[in-house]
Amino acid sequence: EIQDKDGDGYELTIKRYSRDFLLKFLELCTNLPEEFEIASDIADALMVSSVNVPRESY
Amino acid sequence: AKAMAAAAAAPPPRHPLEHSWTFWFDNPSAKNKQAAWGSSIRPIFTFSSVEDFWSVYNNVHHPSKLAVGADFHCFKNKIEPKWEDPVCANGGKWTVNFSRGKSDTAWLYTLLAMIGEQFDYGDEICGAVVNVRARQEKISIWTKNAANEVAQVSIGKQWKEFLDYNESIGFIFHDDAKKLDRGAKNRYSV
Repeated sequence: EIQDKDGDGYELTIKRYSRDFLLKFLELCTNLPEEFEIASDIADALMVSSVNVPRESY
Repeated sequence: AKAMAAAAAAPPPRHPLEHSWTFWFDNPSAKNKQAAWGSSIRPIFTFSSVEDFWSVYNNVHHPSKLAVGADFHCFKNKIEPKWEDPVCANGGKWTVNFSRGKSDTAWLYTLLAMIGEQFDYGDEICGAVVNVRARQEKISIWTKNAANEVAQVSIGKQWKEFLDYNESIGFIFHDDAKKLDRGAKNRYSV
């Protein structure tokens, strides 16, 4: 999964992921992280659906 | 059967990223009310796994759906997307232009290349921003040491490959942009 780009061992310590590998997770992670919070003024402008977004009081 | 049930209940292991990254958003409706530039920019969420990246990305508008005036950033954690940030202060940026509504794929590919550490000089990268404007959408990659030509040229060339972008792109020093605003000229082109 993690590419060993140069095969020299050093790169093993860097977490590299190809685009194709990352795209495999696109449809698996659809729910917001539990700890996600956002102010309501930003939520309306940024979120696809702000209905279920926990709101910070501000 | 018990083991299978336990496996199903346990959260799947996450894929850690090399760096933590923070999404920042500058809200156009707030911009009009606030005089000082940068005062409306706010951090949205910091993620450090492949899964958390998608969980947020899938729930926020992509550039084509953001309002005109919006700026959406993804920067390494602890680096603020501002010229004044000590890590960015001596840096600069590569910029790619798209017509309005046409940058969604390039924005995603830029993010995936950054968080997946696909750049040979990834340490030089501060983050990326998409600026949504009436006639165009601009994506920029901010870097740390503008004077390091080898690193900047490498990043610019690789970025164009990742985006399959064939036109020439330019690199502007933040220092020049501060002094000359729109008069700043490209120091490097690829």
